[in-house]
Amino acid sequence: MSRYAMAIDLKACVGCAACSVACSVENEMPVGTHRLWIRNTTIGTFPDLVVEHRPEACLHCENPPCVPVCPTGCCFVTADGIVDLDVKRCIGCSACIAACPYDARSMHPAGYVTKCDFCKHRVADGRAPACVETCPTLCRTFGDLMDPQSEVSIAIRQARRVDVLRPGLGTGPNLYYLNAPAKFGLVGGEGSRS
Amino acid sequence: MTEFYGLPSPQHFWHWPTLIHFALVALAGGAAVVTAVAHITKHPKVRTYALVTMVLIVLDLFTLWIESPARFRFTHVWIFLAFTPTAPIWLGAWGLTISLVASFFVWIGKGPRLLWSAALVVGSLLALVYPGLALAVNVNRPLWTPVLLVLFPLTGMLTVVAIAALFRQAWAPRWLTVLSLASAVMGVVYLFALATGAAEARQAYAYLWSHGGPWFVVALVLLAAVPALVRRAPIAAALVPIVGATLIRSLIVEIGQVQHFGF
Amino acid sequence: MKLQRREFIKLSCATVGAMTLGSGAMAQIFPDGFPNPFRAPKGKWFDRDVTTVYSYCENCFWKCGIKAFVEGGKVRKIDGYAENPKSRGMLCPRGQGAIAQTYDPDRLKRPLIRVEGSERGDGHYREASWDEALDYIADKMLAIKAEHGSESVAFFAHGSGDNWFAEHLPGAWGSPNAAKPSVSLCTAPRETASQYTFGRGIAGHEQIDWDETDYIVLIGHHIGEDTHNTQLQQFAQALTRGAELVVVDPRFSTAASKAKDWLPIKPGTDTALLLAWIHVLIEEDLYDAAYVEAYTLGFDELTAHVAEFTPEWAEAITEIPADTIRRIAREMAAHAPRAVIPVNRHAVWYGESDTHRMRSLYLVNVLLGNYGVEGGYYLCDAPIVEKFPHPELPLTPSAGGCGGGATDVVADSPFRDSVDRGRFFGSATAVQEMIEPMITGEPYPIKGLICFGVNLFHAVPMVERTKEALGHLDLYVAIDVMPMEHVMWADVILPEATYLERHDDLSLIAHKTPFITARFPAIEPMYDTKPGWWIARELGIKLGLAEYFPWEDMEEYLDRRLSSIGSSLEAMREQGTIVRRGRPYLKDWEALNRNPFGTPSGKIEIYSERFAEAGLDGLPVYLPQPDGPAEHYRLLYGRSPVHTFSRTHNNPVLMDMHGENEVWLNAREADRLDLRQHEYVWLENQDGVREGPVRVLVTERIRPDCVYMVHGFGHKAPRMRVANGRGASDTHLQTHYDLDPVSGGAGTNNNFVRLLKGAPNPNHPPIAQVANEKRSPA
Ligand code: SF4
Ligand code: SF4
Ligand code: SF4
Repeated sequence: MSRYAMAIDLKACVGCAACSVACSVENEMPVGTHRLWIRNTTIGTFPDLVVEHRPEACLHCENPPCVPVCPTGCCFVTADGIVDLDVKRCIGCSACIAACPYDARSMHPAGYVTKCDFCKHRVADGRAPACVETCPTLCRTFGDLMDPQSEVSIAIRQARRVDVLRPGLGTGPNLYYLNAPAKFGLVGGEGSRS
Repeated sequence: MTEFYGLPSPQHFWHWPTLIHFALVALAGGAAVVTAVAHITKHPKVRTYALVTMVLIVLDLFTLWIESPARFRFTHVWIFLAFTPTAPIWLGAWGLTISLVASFFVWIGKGPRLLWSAALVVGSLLALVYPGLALAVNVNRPLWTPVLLVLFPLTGMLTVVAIAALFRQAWAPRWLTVLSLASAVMGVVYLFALATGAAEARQAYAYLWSHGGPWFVVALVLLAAVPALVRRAPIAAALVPIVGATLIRSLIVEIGQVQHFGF
Repeated sequence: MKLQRREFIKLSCATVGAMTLGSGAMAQIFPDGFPNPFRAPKGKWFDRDVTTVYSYCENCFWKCGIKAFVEGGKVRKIDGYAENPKSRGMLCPRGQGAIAQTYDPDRLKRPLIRVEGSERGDGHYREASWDEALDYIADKMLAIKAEHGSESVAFFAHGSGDNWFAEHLPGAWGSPNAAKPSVSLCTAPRETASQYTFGRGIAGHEQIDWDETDYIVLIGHHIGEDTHNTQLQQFAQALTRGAELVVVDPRFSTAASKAKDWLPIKPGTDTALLLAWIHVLIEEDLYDAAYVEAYTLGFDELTAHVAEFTPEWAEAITEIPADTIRRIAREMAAHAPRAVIPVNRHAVWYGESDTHRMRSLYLVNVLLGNYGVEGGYYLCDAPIVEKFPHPELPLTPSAGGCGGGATDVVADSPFRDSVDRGRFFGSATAVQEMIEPMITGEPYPIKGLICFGVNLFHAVPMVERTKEALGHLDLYVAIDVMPMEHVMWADVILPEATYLERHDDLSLIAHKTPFITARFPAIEPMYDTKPGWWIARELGIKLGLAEYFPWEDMEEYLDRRLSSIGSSLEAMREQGTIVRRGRPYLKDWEALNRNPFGTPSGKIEIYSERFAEAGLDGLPVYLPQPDGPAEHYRLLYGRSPVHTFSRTHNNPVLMDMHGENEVWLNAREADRLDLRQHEYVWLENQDGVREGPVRVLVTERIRPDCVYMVHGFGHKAPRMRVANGRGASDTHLQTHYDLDPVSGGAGTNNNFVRLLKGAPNPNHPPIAQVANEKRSPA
């Protein structure tokens, strides 16, 4: 059993969207549907500026609000902590989309919900998720949090600062943002002053 | 300034067919409650009510099926093969189904009376309550507050009672007044709670206000006007709350899909 | 529709019958099989049989090594691979999204010949066979040769096949008028400056020793928005390692957002800043005296030259405080030689000033003692693989390349000089200088143009002039993958197969570890398209030049070349890349007793005798740039991380990321002009040329005296259904350029625009919608 997690070092990320394109191609997302997207935010006034490039996707919450609202049991959490879904059971009711505080789920035009699954097919082969493998700034790490020697554990340990999105909701995200560029952490997150 | 490469899931995941569902399910759930009460009190028109309930439930389920993006995969059977009591939609689906089956037997007058009473009570309450519950569980969406747990059943009952009043059911006008006033009060409570809530609630309140807020007020005024109309213009008194209640429900469902202000 | 009951029954019986009888009809109604709630939707490609093919990417020209994953006869995914020193296992967004180009239904599908009697630009074409199309071209070329000489056919080329169309074919045919836009519209000043300073070019893979450096100063260098893969990787790794970053740019670029210091310099004044840095380094004795002593010539002249270029002098010009200028100079010196000012790629900004700027940039690096030293610029050479033996070409065109400089003109050639010869000092041809002769016939007429992958209307400034020039030609051939606007002006259009469908010549990369990569086709060419090498060879044969193409196909050609280094096509197919050992530092060369500096003096020529002899400045000077007319903003342009030039704008996957460009405008200027965020405006330049509508991006991230837009949008090509009409083209607003008399580069930053309110919102449908509509054939 593992506890899979991802970390993105915002000091290195340039918001280039290679991860997002790789994700869409790998997972055959139709144009217009995204499991992974980039939010680029500017704060400050000329010339004192901060730009945060923040890729976002499903955070594989420890307490995922999206799972208990699913009426067919299509949404579930694997033993390794991947919040996954069995599209064969999906009725497209959008309850999980409504429950996700991070807009991470979207409706596939084929009529079922889709979202990041940590590229479980690659992980099963011992490969990194498509976004992690391709990222040209090497700012993404993926691995097992239970293993203190995993890349992701090390990256989180060594970071100057670690943030998650909307910690106040108690969802327990497993997508960590390292070294946020703004002094107060993630832009527009809780306690932000944007 | 925020810009995206690729967009997250669009803000609106429920569209106008869902609003129709929310209107129909109010009627269906409300009608089931009426049937349940009529059945228990042995109201002479109980078979008519049961038939109306069945028609409304079938209509609602049909709407749901039509709007479901999975309509041709027939995956809905999985609702009945799964046990997910934390899911409001699962509760609602069972509530509607139980109400449908019980109403059918009440209509044809077969089967154990006690069983149908119990089934109708449980089923109708689930059917009436679940739409508000399906919204209120989403603590991430600040416009879908726990107040909806009361507001939605109230407005649901109100619409069905209004229909009953239209068809001159003697018991209806009395309840029309009560439910209209109660709905209006809960509507005000809803707004007040938002306006005086935490930062995010206040931002959501401002958002609601700028995205159709005046319509909300119109709906409240309509509801509050019902007691004055009941004697003088019974037909208007029945039509006005239907408009008011449906308007409130639709606004909350539609606008409330927004989340994470300043985020 | 009202159906009678009987008809209805008949109809439903027929439907049921069809469903039970024909599985075809069934599949039509239920493409995924009869609905079954217990069956999962169709599985993904990676659950089926996947084969892997080595290639290198072509979505920009960084040429990253890739593995293409093929399943069911389709390329499903592309990844980098660790053994390739360009991709190192990673790819940029364009590389990841490139598959969509191959499967773009808007592609050119078969050869087209312009309908007789129609005008260029009308877009009336008839389909033709390859044979007919190539005969047509050959006949016209031979006619031009008979009347005007072979030099009157020009060749423009860009892409992996550009060696065929800008070197081999024109060399065999006998035309020196062969040009690559990657020189004079991009790197020319830095190449010329480097050649005349170091006696070496800058590599196409810029030789910055990112892995070793501790202090980086970027000048107008948009790493991050420029996603040249390896460069971005190493840049990011340097930052993660803790290297300090200073960014000089009028715009708060992505790179600036990573910097400890952002110097929002006044556009056009970079040379003043660099000269002031040289001044401080010398005056405060911060330069590497031993390095200067050992490797350079002309330091004393430089010392005298920069005496007056004080930080205070530079402050008045650049609007960067003198204190800051001093501080950064001292910080650079403190980290030297592990401090570097990297060259950027697109160096044609202001014309004459550009070579001066590049020279002064190199000189700062030289004073830091970093050229050929860890943490600065490493030294690299391309691996050598013998040519496929063929008779010597009658001519070697001086087309150059984006790196590595150009071959010198052979003095006693039987051919006339290229038409641009003499307009500037450098030796590589300048594509934009070949347009005018098409119109004027001076010094001699250009009557034919073979245009391979060069976007004439999105790369070459003065678009109207280009259009006029095309009107004067007897033959205009476009070889391309997409029906770009300029392509639809050609007399003959030849559809090229995409990089996933073809072999190409070996890619020989000058690098810290020089390496060789090969491209293997992952799938057969779709439609009636052909690889560039095939087109060049077939055309060559029809022109009577068969002796210069003595190979049957690319497999034979590649195998023969690879055998010269003890490898083979088969070995390469399994391997993808062959990596060599480099000699990146001066000490490596010294250990071999060799001198890397190819200058006449064998030293770094701080003072250039050769420039001085030619009447140019022997040392770099600052040349002030004009300010635009009142109420105009200087038009700056750059890149989007998801797009390449103007090549990727019909790719729905990439357009879905960034589907139209914006014009960046400082927030206070926007207030003054009463422009709101994302309002559509027209852009009108100093010559009254209008472009747009384009959205305004109201931002704090730019100085108030300039606007910025991403290059490559604003296609006016109705057959490119995704790209057409989205955003605005900076090139169309570049009705003026400054020719660099040294390098031949065309500086385009002296164009100015006004923003005009009241442009209509074009209401573009979402890319997803267009992409879906496109699935049904046009
Ligand atoms: S690929 Fe890497 S650098 Fe680019 S946006 Fe994604 S995480 Fe950031
Ligand atoms: S991010 Fe959203 S979809 Fe992902 S686990 Fe959390 S709530 Fe569920
Ligand atoms: S940098 Fe990107 S587009 Fe260019 S070759 Fe590499 S992967 Fe391809």
